[in-house]
Amino acid sequence: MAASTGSLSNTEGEKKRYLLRPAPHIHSGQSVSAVMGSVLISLVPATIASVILFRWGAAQVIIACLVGAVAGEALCLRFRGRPPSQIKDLSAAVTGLLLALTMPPATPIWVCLLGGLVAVALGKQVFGGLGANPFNPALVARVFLVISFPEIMTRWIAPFDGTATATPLAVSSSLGQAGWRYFLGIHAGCLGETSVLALLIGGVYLLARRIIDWRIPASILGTVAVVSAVFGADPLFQLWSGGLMLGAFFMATDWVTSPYSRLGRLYFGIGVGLLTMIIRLWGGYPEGVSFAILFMNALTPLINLMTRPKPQMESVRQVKERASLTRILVTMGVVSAVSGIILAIFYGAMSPRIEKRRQQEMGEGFRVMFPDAASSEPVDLEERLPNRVNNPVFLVKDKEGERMGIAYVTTPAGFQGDITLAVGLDGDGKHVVAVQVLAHTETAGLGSKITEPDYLRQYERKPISDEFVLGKDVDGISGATVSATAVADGVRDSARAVVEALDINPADGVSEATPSNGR
Amino acid sequence: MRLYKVRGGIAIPDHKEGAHSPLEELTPPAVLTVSLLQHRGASARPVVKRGELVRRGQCIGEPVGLGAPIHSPVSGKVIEVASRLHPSGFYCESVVIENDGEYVDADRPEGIADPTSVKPEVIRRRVHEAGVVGLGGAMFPTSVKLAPEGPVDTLIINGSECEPYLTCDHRVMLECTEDLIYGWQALRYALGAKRVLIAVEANKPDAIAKLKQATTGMSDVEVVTVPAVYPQGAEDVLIRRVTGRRLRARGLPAEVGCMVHNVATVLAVARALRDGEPLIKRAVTVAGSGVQRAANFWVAIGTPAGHLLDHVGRRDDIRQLIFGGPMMGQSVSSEDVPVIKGTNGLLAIAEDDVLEFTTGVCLRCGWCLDVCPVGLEPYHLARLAEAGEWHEAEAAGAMLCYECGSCSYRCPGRRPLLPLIKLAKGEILREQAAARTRSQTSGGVA
Repeated sequence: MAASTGSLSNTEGEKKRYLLRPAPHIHSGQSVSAVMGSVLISLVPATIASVILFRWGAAQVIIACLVGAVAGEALCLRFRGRPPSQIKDLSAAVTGLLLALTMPPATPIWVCLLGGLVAVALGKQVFGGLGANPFNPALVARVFLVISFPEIMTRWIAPFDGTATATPLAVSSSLGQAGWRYFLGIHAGCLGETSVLALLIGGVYLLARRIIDWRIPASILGTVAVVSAVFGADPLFQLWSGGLMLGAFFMATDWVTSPYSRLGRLYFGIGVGLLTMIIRLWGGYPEGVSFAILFMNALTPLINLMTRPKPQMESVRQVKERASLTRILVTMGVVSAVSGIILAIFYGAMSPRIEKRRQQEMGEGFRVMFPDAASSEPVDLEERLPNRVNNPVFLVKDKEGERMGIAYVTTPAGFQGDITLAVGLDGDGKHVVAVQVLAHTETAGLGSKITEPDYLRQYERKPISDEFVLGKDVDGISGATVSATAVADGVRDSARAVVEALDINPADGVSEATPSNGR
Repeated sequence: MRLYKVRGGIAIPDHKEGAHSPLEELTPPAVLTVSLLQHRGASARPVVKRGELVRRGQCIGEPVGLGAPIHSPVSGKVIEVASRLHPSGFYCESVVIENDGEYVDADRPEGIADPTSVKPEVIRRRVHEAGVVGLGGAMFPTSVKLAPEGPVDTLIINGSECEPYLTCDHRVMLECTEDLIYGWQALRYALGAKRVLIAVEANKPDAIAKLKQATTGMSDVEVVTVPAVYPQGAEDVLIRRVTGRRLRARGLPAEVGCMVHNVATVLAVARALRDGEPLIKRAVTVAGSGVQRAANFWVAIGTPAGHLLDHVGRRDDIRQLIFGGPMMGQSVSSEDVPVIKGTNGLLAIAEDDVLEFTTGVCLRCGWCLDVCPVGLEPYHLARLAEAGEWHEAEAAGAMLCYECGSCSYRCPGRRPLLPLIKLAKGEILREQAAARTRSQTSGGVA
C-alpha cells in the first residue's frame, strides 16, 4: 500500500469555502403555504356544495369574503412594514373562505368585504400577525357581524329557489324524516353549515393528511352527542345542524388557537362540545358553536399550562410551576364557592323584598296600561287558568268601582326561554288594551325586538277573536320568527283563557269574544 | 421479543443508497492531520515532536484526565504539531504526519483469543490503551463505560443507524459479523451482563438476517428488529424501546442496568483485544447529492475530507460538507477537516439541496411536542432562547435536549428550533461555568 498523492492538490489560495449551516440539514418539506393550501383544498367540497345549493348567492359571498380578507392582509402588511410576499402563505385566503362558509347566502357584498377585513385586521394582524392571534380570526369576524348586523346575518334563503325562509335551528329540533336532506345539506343555513357530507369529505382529507388532530373533532362531536342524548335532544340533529361540523373540523382545529398537546386538545374539544350544547339548550343565542370555540380559544393558554408534557425527570422549577397552577385553580374554586354562598344568603334574605318590589312593578305596569284606573282587585282563578297564565288575575276598576279592564301576566315559551308578558284587556274582555314585555331571554338584536313599543303597539285595541297569525294580522320580525310568534300566540291564547276562566257573563257582552263556547 | 412504546420520533426518507456498496479500503493520503481532540474530555497531550519519525499504531497523544490515547494511523514523519480545523468547527491542536507509504507497525500487544480467559480489568486496560471511544459519534471513552457505577444485566448493541444516508454500521454488521460476536462477548464478559440485545432497524433486513443466522443457538443473545423511526439510535430511545426502562434525566444507562455500545465500537473493541490493533481506522460513509456515488470506506483517522471526495468523484456544485448524518451532523467550511474517531459519515450537498436557514413563524401546531423523544416543548424553549431567558430555558428542561433535531425537521413554520435550543444550552453552560468560577474565587477570599 502506497500513500496516494494528489489529495491536497488544491493550492492553499484557491481552497473552496463551504457553507456553514446549523443542524439538522434536511427538512420534512412541510411549509405554512403547503398546509394552508391543504386546508383550502379540504374546503373545496363544502364550497362547491354551497354554490350548488345557493348559486350566485353563495358565489358572491365567497368571492367578497376572500377579497376582503386578502385585501385586509395586504393593507395590514403594508401598514406594519412587512413584506407583501407574506400573503403567499395563503393564511388570509383560508380565513376568508372559512368566514364565507359561516355567512348566510346572499349576504350583501359590503358586509362580506367588511367581514373579511375585520377577520384579518382585528382577528389576526392586531395581535402581531400569523401565529400570534388568540382567537380564530374567521369566528371573530362572524361574531362581529352577527352582533353588528343581526338582521342581515339571519336572513336565510331556501336552497335552489332562493326564497326567504326561517332559521334552521330555530324552527325545528329534530330531524324526523328529513335526515338525508340534512346530510346532503338541502335546507336553509349558512353556506358551509348545510352539507354534512361535503364537510366530512374535507375533514377526512385533513385527518388523512395529518394536518388536524382527530382528537378535536372526535371529542367535540362525541360530547355533543352524549350531552344531547342525556338531555333528550335528538343527537343526530344536534350533530348535523348549525355550524357544528364546520366548527369541529375546520374552526376548532385551527393550530394557532387550539392547545399544543394531544391531551390538551381532548380537553379543548370536550369544552367546545359542552359549551355548544349549553348555549344551544339554555342560551340566548343560536350561535352555539362560534361562541363555544371562541370561549375555548380564550382558555387555550390555561389548557396549555395544565397539560405541559412531562420530560423524563421534571426539574424542580416545573414542579413548582405545576404547584402554582394548582394553587390558581384551588383559589379560583374557593373564590367561586365563597361568592356563591354569599350570593345565596343574600338572595335568601332579599327575596321577599324582591317579590314585593316585583309585584309593585307589575302594578305599575298595569297602571301604564290603565292610566285612569282607581284600584285593582286580584281574583283567584288558580284552578281555571292554564299553566302559562299567572294567578291571580287583576280586575281593574275606575273611580266609580266599575270594571274597566282585566290585567294579568302570562309566560309563553320563546326561542330560548319564557317571555313574561303583562297583558291588559278591556272591561268586557273583547279587546286587548296593551301588551308589555316584562322579561325575556330572546336573542339580543333579533328576538329582543319584541320589547319595542312600536312593535307592541299593534296589539292595542286588537279584538281577541282575531287570528293572531304572523304576516296576516300580526307583524313578524325578520330573524326572530319564533319570538314574534310566541308573543302573538301567547297573547291570544291567554286572553281567551282568562276571559273563559273569569266566566264573564254573556250579558256583559263577553261571550261573543269566546267563539269556542259555540254560540 | 416485546418492544416498548417510545414517545416522539419521526419517519424520514432514509436515502441509504450506499447500503449495497461494500466497505472499500481507502489508501491513506500523503499527509494526515490527527486531531488531539478525539474523545469526550480535554484535548490529549501530544507525546511526539516536530520532525519525529512515528510508526503505525504508535501513541502520539496521551489523555489528560478523562479520555483515550491517540495513535498514529500511518508510519512517517511528524511535520508539525499545530492548530488545525476540527469537525466541530473549532481549531484544535493536531499532529500533522507525512505518510511514508511504508506502514511500518509499532509493537503491538499480544492478541487475546478468548476474552473470557483474562480478567475484566485486562480487557478494560487493553480497550483503553487501544484508544477505543464511542464510535457512534459521542466519542465517550469505552473503557470508562466498562467500569459502570451499578450492575449491568443487559448489553445493548446499537445497530440502529437511524441517520439518513449513513450505511457504514450497516456494512460492518454484514461484513464483520464474526468480529462483532467476539467483541460483544468480550464486552458482556467485562460487564458481567446476563444478555446481549442487538438492536437493528427494520430497514436493514439483510443485516438482521445475517446476525440472526450467526447468533443461532446463542441462548442469551438476541437480534431485535426495532422500528425505523428517527432517533431510534439515541441511547435513551433504544433502551426504552427494547427494555421499557426509563433513564433518569441525564442519567447513565447503568442506573437502569443497561449499557449501549455502537456496532463500530464493538468492532474496535474486538480488534483491540484479538489483534492488539489500536483504533486508527474506521468505517465511514461518503454520500450526498454532491458526489457521484455513495460508498463506504475504511478510512485512516486523520484523512482529510477532500481525500474521500476524490475517491467517489465530486460534482462541481458542492456547496456544503457535513461530518456525520444530515440530522445531527456538523457542517464544515473546508475539505481539509480530517476524519476523527467519531466520524461516521461525510455528506457532500449540492447547491440545490442546501437547506436555507429560515427564522419562520410559530403556528402553534404542536408538532414539535409530538416528535420530541424527551418530552420537551421545543417551541417554548426556542421562544425563551430568542428572548435570552436562559434561566427559564434551563428550568423548562433545555439541558435535557440531546439535539436529535426532530423538532426542526418537522416544523411547518421552519423555525430554527434546534439551533435556538443549542444557543440556550451553550449560554446555560457558560453561566454555570461562570458561577463555578465566582464561587471558587469567593471561597478563596473567605
